[in-house]
Amino acid sequence: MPTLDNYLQQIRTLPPAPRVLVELLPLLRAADTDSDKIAELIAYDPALTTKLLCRCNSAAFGLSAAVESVEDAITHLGFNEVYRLVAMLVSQSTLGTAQKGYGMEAGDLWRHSAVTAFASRFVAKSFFGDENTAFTAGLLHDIGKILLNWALVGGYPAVADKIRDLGYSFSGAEKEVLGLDHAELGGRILDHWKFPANLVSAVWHHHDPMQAQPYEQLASHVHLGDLIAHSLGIGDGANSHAIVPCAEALAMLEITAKDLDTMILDTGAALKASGWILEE
Amino acid sequence: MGAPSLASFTSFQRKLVVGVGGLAVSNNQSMVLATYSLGSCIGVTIYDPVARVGGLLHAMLPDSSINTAKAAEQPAMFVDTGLPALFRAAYELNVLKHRVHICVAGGAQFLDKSGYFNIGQRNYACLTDVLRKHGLLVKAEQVGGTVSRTLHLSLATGEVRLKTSGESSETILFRS
Repeated sequence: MPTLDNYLQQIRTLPPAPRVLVELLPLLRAADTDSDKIAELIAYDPALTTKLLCRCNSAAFGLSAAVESVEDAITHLGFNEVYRLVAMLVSQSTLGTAQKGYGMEAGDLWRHSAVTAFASRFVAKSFFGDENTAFTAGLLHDIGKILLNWALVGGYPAVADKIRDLGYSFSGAEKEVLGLDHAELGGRILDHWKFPANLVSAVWHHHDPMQAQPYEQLASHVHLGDLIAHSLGIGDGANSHAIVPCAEALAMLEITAKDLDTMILDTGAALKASGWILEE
Repeated sequence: MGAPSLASFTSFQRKLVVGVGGLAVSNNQSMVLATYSLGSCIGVTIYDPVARVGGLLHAMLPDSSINTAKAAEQPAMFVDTGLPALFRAAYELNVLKHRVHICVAGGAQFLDKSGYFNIGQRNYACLTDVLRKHGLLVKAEQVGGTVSRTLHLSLATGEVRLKTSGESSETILFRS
C-alpha cells in the first residue's frame, strides 16, 4: 500500500500550481486595489489571457463591445467575475483529466468542482462569508482525487465493497483501504503549494467541517456546496452519494429544507446562465 | 463506391438530451430520449405503446411552492409541477393516460441519518404522492442508493435503459 510520503512525492508530478489564485485573492478583498495590478497578474500568463478573452467574447456573455485585453474584461465584467473565470480556467488543466479510479470520465471532476464552486459561493453569500474564498475552496476541494486516483484504479473494488456491504462513506472507505482520504491529500497539496491556511483547512475538512477550526464556517460552506453539487449530479463518479452530511455543521448554519432547496435552485440557475460548465 | 444503403440511415438513432429541470416528449420513432447525472433528482419516463409516443422528465426539487415564479417559467424543475406538465405535453401527441407505462429512476441518498439532507427521499415521496392522486402506477423503478444514474427511453420500442455512474454496462429497466 502506498504511504503518505509516496503520495506527497507525486505532488511534484502535478501541473504547475495555480499560484495566480493565491496572489489574486487578497487583492480582491482589499478595497483600494486598482485594476492595473490585477490585470498585470493575469496578463503575466499569455495562455491564460488568451483563454480568458476567448471566454469573455463568447456568445454566453452577450457583451456588445469586443473584449481585447484583461483591462477590458475587468471594465465590462468586474473584478469578481474575472477572478471566477480565471479560477475556472486555471483549474481546468489540473482537474480536467479522467479519474478512472473514481469512475469519472474526462471533464467530470472539473464539472463537479465548478458546480461545487458555484454552490459554495451561494452558501457563503447566504451566510455572509467571503464569496471568492468559498468559490476557490469549492473549486479545489477534490484536488486530492487526482493523486489518489492512481491508487484507486486497483483498489476501487475494495472501496466499493466497504461502501456497499458495510455502509462506509467514500472517505471512510478510502482511509480504511488506502490509509488516507482525498480530502486530507487535497489539503496537503494546497499546503505544499503555499495556499493560505483557510483554504488548506476547508479543503482538508470538507467532509468533516467542524474539525477545521477556526475555519469551520468556510469548511461548512464548502461541505454544503459539495452536497448541493452532488444533488445536481453533474460530473458525478461512482458512489457519489456515499457522503455523510455533517449534522453539526448544518445545525450551526441553521439551515432549513426550504433554504437548501432555494440554494439548489439558485445554483442550477447560475450554471445555466454561465452557459459553460454544462456543455464542456 | 455506391450510395449507403437505406438501412444504414434508418438504424441511426438520434438522441435528445433532457437537462436538469427539463422535459421532452416526442413521437419520432428514430429518437432516444436521454438524461444524464440524475443525482438526488428524479427522472420519469412515460411511454404509450399504442400511440408510440414517449416523454422524459428530469425534476430537480419536490415542491414548487418555494418559488412559484420559477415553477411558472420552468415547471419541469419541480416534481409537483413537472409531472403534470409532462403528461399535458404527451396528451397533445394523442397519449392516453390509461395506456402509459411509467418508469422512475434517481433520488440518490446521502448517508444521512439525521435527515437534514434528504432531497432524494423528498423528491421520491412527492412523486409517489402525485402519481397516487392521479391513479397512476409505476411499471419499473430504480431509486435511492448512493449512486448517480443516466436514463434512456427508446421511442421505437418503449425500452428504458439505465446506467449507473462509475459502471461500464447498462441495464434494462423496462421492456414491454
